Amino acid sequence: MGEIIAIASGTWKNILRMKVVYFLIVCVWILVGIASMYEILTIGYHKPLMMDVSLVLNAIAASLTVLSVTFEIPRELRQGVAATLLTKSLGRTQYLAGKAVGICVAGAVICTLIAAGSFVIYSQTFAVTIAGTMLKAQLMLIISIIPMSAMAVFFATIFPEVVAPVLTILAIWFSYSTGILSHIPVLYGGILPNLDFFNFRSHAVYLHPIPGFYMILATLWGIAYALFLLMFTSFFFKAKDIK
Amino acid sequence: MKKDTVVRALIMIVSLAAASWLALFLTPMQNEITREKRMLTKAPVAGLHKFLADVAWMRFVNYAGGLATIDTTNVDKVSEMLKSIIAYDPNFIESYQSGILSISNADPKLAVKILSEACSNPHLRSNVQIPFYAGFILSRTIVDQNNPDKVLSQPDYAAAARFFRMAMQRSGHPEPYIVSNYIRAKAKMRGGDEYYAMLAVLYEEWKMSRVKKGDFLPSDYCRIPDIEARLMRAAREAKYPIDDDGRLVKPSKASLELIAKVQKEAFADNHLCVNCISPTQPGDKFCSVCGHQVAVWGVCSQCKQVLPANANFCPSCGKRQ
Repeated sequence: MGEIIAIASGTWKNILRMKVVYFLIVCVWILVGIASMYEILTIGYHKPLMMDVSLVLNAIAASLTVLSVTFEIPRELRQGVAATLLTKSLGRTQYLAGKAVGICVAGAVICTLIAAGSFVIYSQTFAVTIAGTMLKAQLMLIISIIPMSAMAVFFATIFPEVVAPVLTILAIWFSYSTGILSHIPVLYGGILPNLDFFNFRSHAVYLHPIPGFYMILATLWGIAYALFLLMFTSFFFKAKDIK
Repeated sequence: MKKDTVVRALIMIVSLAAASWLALFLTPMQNEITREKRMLTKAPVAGLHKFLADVAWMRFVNYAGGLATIDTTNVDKVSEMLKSIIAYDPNFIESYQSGILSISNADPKLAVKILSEACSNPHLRSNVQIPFYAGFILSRTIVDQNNPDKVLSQPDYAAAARFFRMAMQRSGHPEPYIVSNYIRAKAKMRGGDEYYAMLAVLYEEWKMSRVKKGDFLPSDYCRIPDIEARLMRAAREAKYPIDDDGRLVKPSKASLELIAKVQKEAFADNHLCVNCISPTQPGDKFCSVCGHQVAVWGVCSQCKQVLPANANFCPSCGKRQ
């Protein structure tokens, strides 16, 4: 467990140390604030637009954070950093788990900052309190980082540096559409991911309730799926030749 | 096989089974929570439906705002834009209330079709405007603005009445304009003399409102607020109908019979002038509106002083009432 925390800690510190991350967060806040100027162009629909923009940009930020591991793992493998780490008592599975946990933590921090800033901008602009549904929608988005990070680790381990990010983005895109396969039990929600479980953007805008029990089940699903994918990846990683 | 491999395989299988099992519960729960997903476009947009609806809305506002008018020459493009908004977000109320209404003069059939689909959207079931707009479009004759000889849609009063009734049922206190449109649509359904039809409709509604608890009521019955005031006004207008030029005309025999029936059954205790069906005040000997002699009421049987409401004794002579 200690090794996993150590790898994770290194991963999230690397990401959160980058100044560009905070620059992007500020850019997102600015874009969210700009939505308040769309009152005329939306005929008074700027308030839901701002909430929607904050959720979409937060989702993009989560995807980009997760994508960083698809560069990091192949780079570490290529540069021999992984080989150095893995000669110690650190197992390959712990390495992958550490990377996934690290990305989850980094993504959670970034998305929480974006969400918090968006809420402040929203409440100050419209002089309203933030509804519970809005908080839940943002929370579901943050929880969706768990299965996304497992997907990113999977592609980063198996594919080279150039291909892994593209495949990860495509997989994340595809994951929102697997609902059409819902009649196939093991395939859908089992082997194939379904990030649509975490998609409640329209609920946040229209203030439709999101049951707490559903959120708990979705979180458990995210953790179970991430575990499955990490173990699956570890078989490939075990067989991989690391110089 | 190494112990480590076995453990990993076991974790993988157990977590896969757990994820599949959880998905079996999550899917119907999610379908229940997000019922509008059945109406969403199946296009793979990575869950960005709501945002794309916002963008499509802004494009629509930008485009429609630049048009002098929406008519049969440009309604197809406008309709496609509105349909894409609704495909991305079926709960987008403004697309129905502002958007669909803007195409109703150019393509009323499509407007009613979209509004009708919106009426069955569970998330919009408390919206009163959507069924009202559908009924409003259906109750008018709409012609092509570029070719007035071409009729785009004829009134369908039966369908209009259904939508107006839906609007009334969705509201705890329906607005007067919705009720008026509902009554007018039902009267038009009857056909014939407009004043008689209005009175007949209101009289039937009044009779249904008097049905005792437990008695049978038609499934399409919808309680009309202030029914008696409306009935009184309709009776008055039926007794003194005016033609399209504003001239007073003679009421029909059927109207007079119905007015008499209404006065006897609905307004027996209302102390109305039999001539103009206006309310009279206690002590009045003649109607203050038309001057017709009226039955005096609300006075002491001994000294003929006007009594206060609910008086048990006369304040002038003390006689028990």
